[in-house]
Amino acid sequence: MTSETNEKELAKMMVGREVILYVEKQPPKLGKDVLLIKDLYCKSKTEHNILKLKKINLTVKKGEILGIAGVAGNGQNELLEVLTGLQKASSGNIFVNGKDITNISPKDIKFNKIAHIPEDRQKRGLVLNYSIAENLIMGYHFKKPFAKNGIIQEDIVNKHADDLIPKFDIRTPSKDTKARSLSGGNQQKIIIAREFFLDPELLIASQPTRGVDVGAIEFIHRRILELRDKGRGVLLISAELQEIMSLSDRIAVMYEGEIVAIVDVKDTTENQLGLMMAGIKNPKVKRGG
Amino acid sequence: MNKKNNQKRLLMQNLKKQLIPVLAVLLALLIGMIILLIAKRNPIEAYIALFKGSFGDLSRFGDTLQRSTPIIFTGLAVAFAFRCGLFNIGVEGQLLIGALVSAYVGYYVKGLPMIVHLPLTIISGMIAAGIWAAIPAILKAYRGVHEVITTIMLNYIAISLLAYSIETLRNSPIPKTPDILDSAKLAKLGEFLPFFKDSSVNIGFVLAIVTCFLVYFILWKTVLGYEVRAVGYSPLAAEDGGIKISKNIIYAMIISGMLAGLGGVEGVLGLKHSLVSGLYDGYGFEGIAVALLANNNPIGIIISGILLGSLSSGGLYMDMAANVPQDIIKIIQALIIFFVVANQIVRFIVYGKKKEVLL
Repeated sequence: MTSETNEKELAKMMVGREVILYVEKQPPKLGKDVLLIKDLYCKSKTEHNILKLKKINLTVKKGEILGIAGVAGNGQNELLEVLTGLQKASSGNIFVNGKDITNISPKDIKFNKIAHIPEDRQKRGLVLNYSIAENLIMGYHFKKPFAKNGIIQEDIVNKHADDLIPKFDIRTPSKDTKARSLSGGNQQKIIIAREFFLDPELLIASQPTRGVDVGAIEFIHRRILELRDKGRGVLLISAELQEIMSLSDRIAVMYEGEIVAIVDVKDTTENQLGLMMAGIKNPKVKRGG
Repeated sequence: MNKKNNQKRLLMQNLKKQLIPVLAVLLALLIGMIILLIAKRNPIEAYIALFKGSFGDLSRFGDTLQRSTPIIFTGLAVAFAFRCGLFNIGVEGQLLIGALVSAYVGYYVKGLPMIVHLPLTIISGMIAAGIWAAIPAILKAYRGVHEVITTIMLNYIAISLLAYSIETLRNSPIPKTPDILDSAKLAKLGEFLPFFKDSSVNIGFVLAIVTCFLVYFILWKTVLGYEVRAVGYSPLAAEDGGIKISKNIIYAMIISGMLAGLGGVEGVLGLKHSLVSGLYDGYGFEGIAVALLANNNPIGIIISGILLGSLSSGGLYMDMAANVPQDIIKIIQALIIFFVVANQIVRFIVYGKKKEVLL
């Protein structure tokens, strides 16, 4: 029976409606640089003589999605952690909208209009034993209006949850449900709701759709594209080549802590990307070949 | 329909979870009975004597409340640290340091009116205990030294320091510090409530109850509590959310130490009016039982504190009236802790084999 169906139809049957697996998107309307990384180096946390990032130079323009492709463990994680303040850069600079944010603290990134979807939503993204409402304020829980004089303003926290839950289609019996008991897709939507709330100029997303259901994948992709079309920058790290190919406008390939190539998505193929990810800098593979 | 069922199921799960401590206590009492039978004592008689000894009349009840006061404080101390993911075994030492400093300030700082002297004595005891707890906190936060090891070691240091201090400060053949001044004493509740006039319960008990509600407020209504609990549940997610792990470890341990210190302060200012050698030995460890039994909930600690306090305060009467050695109390206490920690056993015995994940 499997021969009579295909991915698209299966997805349709699972979700109950037509699902757009291959994202259709407008050509990018590029603006100024929103993210500029200059000669960034980073040492390994444990072994200080090993460089995890070697002379990274990247730009993300307004209205563009820059995908980072690479086999897991080639420095993508370190790049993300340096960008979000979880690790210190050894040298080099990071600018967001012209402001130097090198070695920013994780507390401040949200207030510099940077949103961040971490790779591991259960370890890094959510406090699983916290309710949805509590998770939705993480990162700005200490700021007005959510807290006044060190006291959490419950009414405002609850109203915030009531606003965001339908807006981001989080399927839950109640805002007081623990994040732990939701599905992967709905957990991811909590993170997206929280991160998009502050209207970010730059989104750093790592594996945003890993392990989530088809409906949620579509939802998340649409949100990321909406952000791009609003003229915001997106840095997308994903191990899914298909995701990178379908969402990104440009793709940077990482290999052993270096950017080995930056290509326009229109000028490349999965084959070519695959070879570059294996460290071959100028693969001579024709399009479609 | 489905949603309603789901909610009902969640409610039942929650109820079952809340019942675990109660069942643990009942099971412990049941096994205590078996032990009493083996020792050829009448268990019913023993338990009646135990109950009479702790709740038999108002003065006994007052004594039970007094006995519960320090372990409510130490229970709160353990629970607060637990909420931040820290196992503060050092409440014993922090309690002793609090007692020592309050005994010192209560005696040596002279010529102050009560309205200044009493708060000063309480606060100095708290702060000293907080500083004592800050040592393992800083080691943990910046050097990753495990708090269980350091707090145990600091307990021994505190015990020795106490013995040394009592030896140098004492002015009578009895191993105790000089009596504190009247201006630093916590009034007995019997002064306001005539029916408690024969019991030792003092304002310290009221202070303990107020502190329980205060700790509840801090943990669930403030930014500090939000951050402390986030670090306790998931340090990595907290870090990602801009919460400093090291800062919260230090705050939580200092607050925990201050709560433990209050337990010692009550013993000196309310009960003995001096620091007597051996006073409150083991109360820090009882605090661990109180916190576990209450599932680290500050309001639950009021109940579990009074429960464990009543076991100890009734033990002496049971010894006299039913000729049952007090050590059975220690066995029952240990069994309660055992069943709370190994709550899977309780679930198995009471709810049968069905595996359910209770979170």
